[in-house]
Amino acid sequence: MVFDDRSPIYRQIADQIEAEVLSGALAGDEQVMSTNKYAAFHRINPATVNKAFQQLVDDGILYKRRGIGMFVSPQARETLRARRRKSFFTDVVEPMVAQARAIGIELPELIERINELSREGER
Amino acid sequence: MTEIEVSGLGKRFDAVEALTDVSFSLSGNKICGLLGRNGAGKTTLLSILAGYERQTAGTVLIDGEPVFENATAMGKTCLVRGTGDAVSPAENVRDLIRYAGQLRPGWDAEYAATLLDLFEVGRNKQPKALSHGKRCALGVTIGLASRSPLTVFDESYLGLDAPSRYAFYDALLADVMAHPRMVIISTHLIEEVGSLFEDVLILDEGRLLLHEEADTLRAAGAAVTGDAALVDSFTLGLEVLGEKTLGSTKSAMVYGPLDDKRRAQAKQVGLDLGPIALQDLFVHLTSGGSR
Amino acid sequence: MTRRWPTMRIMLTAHLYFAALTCAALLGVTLVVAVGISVWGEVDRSYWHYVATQFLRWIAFGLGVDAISSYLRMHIAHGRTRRDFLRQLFPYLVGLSVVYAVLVVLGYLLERGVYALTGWPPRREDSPLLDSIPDVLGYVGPFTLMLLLWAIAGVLLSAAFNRDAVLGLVTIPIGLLIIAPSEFIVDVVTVPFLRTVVESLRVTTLAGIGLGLAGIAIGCVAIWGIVRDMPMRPKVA
Repeated sequence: MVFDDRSPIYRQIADQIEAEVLSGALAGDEQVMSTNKYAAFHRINPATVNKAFQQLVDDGILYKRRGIGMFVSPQARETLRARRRKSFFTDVVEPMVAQARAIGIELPELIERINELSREGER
Repeated sequence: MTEIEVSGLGKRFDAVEALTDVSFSLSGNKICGLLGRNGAGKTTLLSILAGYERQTAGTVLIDGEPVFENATAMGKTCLVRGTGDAVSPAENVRDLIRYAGQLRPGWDAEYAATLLDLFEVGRNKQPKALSHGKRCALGVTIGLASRSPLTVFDESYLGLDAPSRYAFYDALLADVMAHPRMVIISTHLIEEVGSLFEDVLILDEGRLLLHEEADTLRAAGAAVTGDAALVDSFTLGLEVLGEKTLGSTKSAMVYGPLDDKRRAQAKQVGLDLGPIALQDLFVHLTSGGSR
Repeated sequence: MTRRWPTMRIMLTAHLYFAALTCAALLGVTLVVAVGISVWGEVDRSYWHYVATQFLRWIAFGLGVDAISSYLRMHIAHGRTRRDFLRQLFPYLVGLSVVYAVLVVLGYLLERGVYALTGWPPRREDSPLLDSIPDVLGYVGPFTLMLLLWAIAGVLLSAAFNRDAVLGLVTIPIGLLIIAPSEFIVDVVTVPFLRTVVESLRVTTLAGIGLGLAGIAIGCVAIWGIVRDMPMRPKVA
């Protein structure tokens, strides 16, 4: 994973860990790589990693066990999914509708396709 | 914990003002980047910080003490410029390393030996017989093994080849985590080393342009892309660093925070907002004839 | 000792071997030359004398130059002050001058021994081979002073030129002033022209030594003035 220089790195780190939690690669109560190891592995400033981890702790995604390290909160996945659910419509659906309209696909057509996918999924 | 306090620093060489009214403070153990074009005054600033030169105006304090000819302050600093001033041409590497150990109280001889092996620098050779890259490696080794509370690399690792550079970054990171100290790196290879910086200072034509946390800087700019006319009306009143036009599409680099209202506005009008890399920000913030 | 005098120690260890080897080599060459001369003519004087009085002074000068050009930079690069360097420089120069002076005297004694074996008699009155051994041993003092003056001149010129070309030119006459007494100190004046000068000026060895010490003082003050805030410009790699 290469961190690019175009947005705050601590944000990129936090996003990456959140993605791993969502996908299940990181399970609840599983230990996360220590700040120093993380920094060395990705060649980033440890203070930046600390900031990212702290952000995740504040958001309830990670928790710290003194002297041992950082762990994924058992409810992290659910927390993230809920957060994503909230913003799903503004971040994904609305832009999708706008884009569809921009290229000439009408809403009924869109809804029909979604229903189709739902039927395929059930089979 | 090192505290650097620079206030109103100026340096004049004959008729040339190399540095004008530079003020900043750095404290703690962190890796800082000093960026600037060639001739911006980076080496001058760092030389004054290490007591190699005396300033013509202003003050520079390390842990509260003025630097020039101050044994305590100078003893805390290790500046590696280019291939290294501690590298005397006539002695061989083994002797030079031994001298470093005799002259620097905090020197770690074992660590130095490890680094010399890592960079494959022959002990028996004289620096003049080493390639430019190996001489740089020697300079960098001296900087790292000095364990000085303030260690400064002034473009000193640029002569290393790419694998050696990455070895240097890894060694630097590992050592700073194990033995915290303040490190300042002056460079123009921002893309490579930018992720190591906690703070960034940008010098331009002898003046300090900005001093910011690296991540804050990364969020400080945006590239606004879309229909030229829309872009123009959107960027009215904002600080535009540069623009690129292709046909009726324009991409403008804007500096300064964009609040949510602005962001929503951009989305509404169909403009695309993207981030700007630190490297690009640097290029556009500093002069170079393109402004 | 390491903490207080590291630079001095470094400079000494770097140069002591050189001193011994150089003097040994020079003595060897001198004796070979003597042998050569004995084939075509007569060996009637000490040739080591030329080396000792005329040649070694330039080595001392070079060591002074080297102290500034090689070691001052390294000293500062390792976080030490110029003041600290100057403090260590003087004992170093004195120490090195003593070492060379002792080697010079050893050279005289060895040469004397060789001449005794080969039966080459010194005929010239001003040849140091005619002096008694205690006198020869006494040469250590004057030679130390002479070499020290030349070394100080080397440091002065090197520091001045390092700082600024014009300053360098200005210090050349000062340097000459500093080394001038060396002609009177080393009582055995070899260059006939200068002997006339010495005799006409009626400068005695004591006055010569006095002038020499004054020269050291002037040299040290000038060096201190130049080096105390000397800027270290980046080397042209």
